[in-house]
Amino acid sequence: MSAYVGGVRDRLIFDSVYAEIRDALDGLGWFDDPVDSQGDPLRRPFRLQPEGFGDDGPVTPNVAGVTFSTYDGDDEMEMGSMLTENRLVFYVDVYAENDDVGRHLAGDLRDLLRGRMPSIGRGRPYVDVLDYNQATPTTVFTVEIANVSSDHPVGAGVEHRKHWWVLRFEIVDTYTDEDDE
Amino acid sequence: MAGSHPDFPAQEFRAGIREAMLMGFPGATLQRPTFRWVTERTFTGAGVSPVSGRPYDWGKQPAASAKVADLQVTCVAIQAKPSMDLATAVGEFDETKLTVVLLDDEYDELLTHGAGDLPDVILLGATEYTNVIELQTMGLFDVDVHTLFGSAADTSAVTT
Repeated sequence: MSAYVGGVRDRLIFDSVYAEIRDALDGLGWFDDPVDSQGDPLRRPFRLQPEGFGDDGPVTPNVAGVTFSTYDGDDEMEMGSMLTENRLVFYVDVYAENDDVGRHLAGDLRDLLRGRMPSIGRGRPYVDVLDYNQATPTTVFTVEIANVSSDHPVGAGVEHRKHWWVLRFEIVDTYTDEDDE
Repeated sequence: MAGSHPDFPAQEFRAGIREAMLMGFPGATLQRPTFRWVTERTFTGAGVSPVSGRPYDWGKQPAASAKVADLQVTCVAIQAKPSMDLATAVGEFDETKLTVVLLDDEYDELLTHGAGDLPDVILLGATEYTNVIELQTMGLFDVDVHTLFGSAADTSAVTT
């Protein structure tokens, strides 16, 4: 097999997108733990997780979960071949300790996905997909990030739903079959 | 005082209620309700939101911090999962609720300790309860009984 198809392709895409988001947020300082002069945290630590939030699991601000929920293909790209454009729908749920952290984090996520931050290596809306089967992962193909949108659903009552943002974006993946070079 | 009665032994009544509360108090200090106030910080100078007062750089040092120490008082804490359906468009949230009942003396102690503010968070074991509100105050002659109510933000151990 000279190309990546099926479940392995989906997993490599998810892992690479997640790693790209994680590294970009790290570059922006979100995993730092700033403290005041007495050593008390200036904001709650931020965590990123490669899964969503269950109905009975912990939701401790500040936290974001990346999920791949929908495979929305296929658009045929040319006649007489198997080349199709496929769209994978991703979500990032952000639960923040207050509106400023939530707005700041959601805005950073939106623009790093859209490739508006060349200073941290996110200067284009693409993700190089790495083959993590290799001892030293290398880029095996590239996917595009499209249709980035953000929403701030305001839930009544509890604290973690008051400062909840949802980002949605699509990964555009174009390929034919196993024999694709 | 509204509803006073000369034959009602308010102090003895309070002492009796506290004894009953202490009977149900867990032996481990960590398992008892702990009242916590969020540190109030003031940021000045450039780089501060004129709307919220918070900095744009999360590492900016505050000009002033008012930290209130955690406090434990004699009270009764009741944990419960809600029976109502909390379904939303993106899933069902099953949040644990906490009810804390305390006498007027302990309630006043909380307010004094918090400079007039009720606690922002109630810790019970490893669980944090936020969105603390006060429900209806009940009175029995000179004694008032206060009820605080909170929702769990986290059902796992706090790692901060």
